[in-house]
Amino acid sequence: MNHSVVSVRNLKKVYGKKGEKQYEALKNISFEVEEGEFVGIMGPSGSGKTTLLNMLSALDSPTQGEVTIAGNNITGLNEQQLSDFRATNIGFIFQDFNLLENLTMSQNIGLPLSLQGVSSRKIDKKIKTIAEILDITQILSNYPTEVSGGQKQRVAAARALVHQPQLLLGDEPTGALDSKNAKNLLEALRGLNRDYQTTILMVTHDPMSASYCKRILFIQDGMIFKELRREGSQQEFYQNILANLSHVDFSESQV
Amino acid sequence: MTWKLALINVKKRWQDYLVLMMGLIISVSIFYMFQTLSLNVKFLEEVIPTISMVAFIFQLGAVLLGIITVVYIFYANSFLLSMRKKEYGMYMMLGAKKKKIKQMMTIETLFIGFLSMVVGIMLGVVFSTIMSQVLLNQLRVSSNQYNAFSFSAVVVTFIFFLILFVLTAITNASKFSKTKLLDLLHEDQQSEKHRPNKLKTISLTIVSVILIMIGYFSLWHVKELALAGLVIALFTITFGTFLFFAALLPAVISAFKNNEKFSRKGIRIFTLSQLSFKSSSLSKVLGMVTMLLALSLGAITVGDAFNNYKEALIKQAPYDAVIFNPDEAVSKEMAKLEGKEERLYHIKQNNEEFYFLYDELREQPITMNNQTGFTLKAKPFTEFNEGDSFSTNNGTEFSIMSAFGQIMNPYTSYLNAPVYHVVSQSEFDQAQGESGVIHVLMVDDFEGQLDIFERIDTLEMARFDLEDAETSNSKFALYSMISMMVSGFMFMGAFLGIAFLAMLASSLMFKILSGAYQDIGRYDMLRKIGVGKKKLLASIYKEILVVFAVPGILGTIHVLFGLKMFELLMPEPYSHIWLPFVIFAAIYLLYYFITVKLYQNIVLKSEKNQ
Ligand SMILES: Nc1ncnc2c1ncn2[C@@H]1O[C@H](COP(=O)(O)OP(=O)(O)O)[C@@H](O)[C@H]1O
Ligand SMILES: [Mg+2]
Repeated sequence: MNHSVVSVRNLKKVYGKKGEKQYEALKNISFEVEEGEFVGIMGPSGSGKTTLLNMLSALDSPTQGEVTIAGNNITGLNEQQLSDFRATNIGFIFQDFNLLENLTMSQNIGLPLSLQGVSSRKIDKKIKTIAEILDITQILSNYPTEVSGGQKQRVAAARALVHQPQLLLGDEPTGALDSKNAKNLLEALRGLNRDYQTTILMVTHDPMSASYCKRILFIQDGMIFKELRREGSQQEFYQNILANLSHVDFSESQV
Repeated sequence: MTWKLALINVKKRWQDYLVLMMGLIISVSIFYMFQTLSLNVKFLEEVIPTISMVAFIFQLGAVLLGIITVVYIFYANSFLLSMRKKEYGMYMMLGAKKKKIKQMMTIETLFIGFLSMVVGIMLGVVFSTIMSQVLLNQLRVSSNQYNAFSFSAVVVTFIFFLILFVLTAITNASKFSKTKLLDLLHEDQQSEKHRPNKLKTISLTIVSVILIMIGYFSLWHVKELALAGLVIALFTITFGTFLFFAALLPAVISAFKNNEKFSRKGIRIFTLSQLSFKSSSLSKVLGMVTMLLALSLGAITVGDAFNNYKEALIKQAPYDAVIFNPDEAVSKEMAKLEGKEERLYHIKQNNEEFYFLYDELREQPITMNNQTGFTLKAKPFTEFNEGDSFSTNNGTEFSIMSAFGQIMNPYTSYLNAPVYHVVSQSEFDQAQGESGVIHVLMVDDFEGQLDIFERIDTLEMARFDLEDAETSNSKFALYSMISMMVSGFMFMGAFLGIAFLAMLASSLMFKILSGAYQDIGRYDMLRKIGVGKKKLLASIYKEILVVFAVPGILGTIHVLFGLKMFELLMPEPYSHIWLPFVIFAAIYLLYYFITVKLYQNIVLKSEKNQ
């Protein structure tokens, strides 16, 4: 019995104040993400992907429409409520890791739990669990400068997941990784999705990364113009994505 | 092209440059002011005829200021370099030659220097004008000898800072030559080693504590150790302070950070993480700030202490006016004095022999000061018999001799070997010599009736044919002399204090603000993982508070020990410290809030539009 974790209805976002120069970054977007899904969002630069992600994570409020995450309508919450909502329901992976360089990996991972006032003993337990899942146990006492980019990103994923959020969001999480490290991270994400039914929504430029998803939404000019579901093997899906990309003027010049 | 690029750079980050230049400008203007003062020789001679010491004090102050300024300028300019490294790296990636960039850097440094000099000198002229007015007022003299604009002071200031800026430009350029392109590009990612060598940390910490202790010890025993004590203290405390921030502070913060019971409370781990960042990247600045703070607070406190010492010095003169056979004009002025007590002593003078009436001295004993160290104890002089004679030749104590001296006519020339006879009425009548009456006046409020005393002084000077340049021994003359000296000290203390404070504030603010750009990402990340603005703000307040408080506290302790050395110059350097301390704390706190506000504007401004 699947129920939706993300439900977006008629979402519209206009930047700029009334009377000034306005820009409509999102135009009437609607979609659902069900529990345990692994969804990719693709689109050319400036198409509104980051804007969409910001709406989903309540970092910014939509001009129109509704966003419901895990049954909570987040459009009507105040700033404090939104912060608390993010802290408990959402995990974030950033393109450039955003680890605190002078904290050890385990201190970095434990950060969201400290924020929620979880006891020190429980924090240790949870860090241990997530570290085993993401295979980073042996670098827990290292500092970010001492490990590879792929490992850093897996630690960032651990930090995003340690408090067991309803939804894991990633804005080009593989953007700063070489292909080997990117694959490494994506495998880990796929494992999480498969074994723990973690709901993942990630923005990506890269067809290879996208091929790890089960479903892909293509955005252009603030609108969803195509949806692709993986039916066969990953290789087939990859070819399918490439074919779709060549249909539109997808400039990959910018990374 | 190089010129244009250099100027665009300055324009682009004018806020950073402004903070940096504030310190430069203030140090230029205060340096100029000291130069004007010590170069306005005529003015000094007029205002301070007898005490060439004050002129010397100002020269000394100028030298001290000069040394600190040299250190500060070099420091400030190395900030400039580190602030710009990444950009320079980018220009080089785009094909700019190292030589061109070095030219650009030099232009920038000299441009900033030139601008600071011009603004600083203008500000200095304004300061000097205001200060001379206040100073003259305080000294109760009118002078038209003082020029706030002194051409030679401008030249000296200009040359001094020009040399400094050229030297720093050269240093920066050579430092730049030695840096590799890759290091330039990754300037802000150069994270410090997060695994400090434990042995090194511990040994440095121990050395730092020992050095500071030695310094404090030698200040505490400065009376026995004398000059050696001061030199030892200067070196040990300076090095100890820098080591403290290089080793001890980061170690303590990292200990807190790694204590999970303590750090895993809300956002605390992040605050500590930020602090440990700051404590290592700011360690040199914090050391410098501590020393500047100690100098600044010390200068202000000592200046103020001298001011309070004035009261004590003035008390040494027990009588407010001593007048020999007053004429009509003086009597009129005397009558105007309020709350006065007047004593009369009949006297007969034969050259340096003076006859006093036994009964009069019994009835109105003269005041004797017993000196122990700096403190004087006034007590009535009663241990005498009829027929006693007092003179240095028959072994009379100095305090008794000066007790008699206090009631001698202050407007006559110095007595070589006075003899004071205490005699009966009949002997007095028989004694040879000119007879007269001494009027001794004591008022409740001396400082409130200074104008009357000044008029009396002028009248008496004229009556006894004293030239302007000669000074009498009157209390009014003593008072003016002391207040000149004290004002000199106080003003110097205040201005040195302000100069150091300005340098301190600009070093600290600049370093914190220039680091803020690297912190934006961290605050953004926290916001995204669900930390509310209130918590972020609280973290900022705490983080910067520690950065301000630790040097503040250490610097204050330095001052408390440092004041000990002024026991060589005055009785109780500690007696009035609260006022300068409170004022200083208020200013320091203000800097803290401004810094927090500016920092917050940088790191939290991306809040809405992202
Ligand atoms: N804060 C903002 N103010 C105004 N315009 C914005 C803002 N953020 C994004 N935009 C505009 O909205 C469009 C979509 O941006 P974004 O969502 O970042 O695109 P993507 O992440 O797909 O590259 C772009 O044209 C961008 O210029
Ligand atoms: Mg984007």
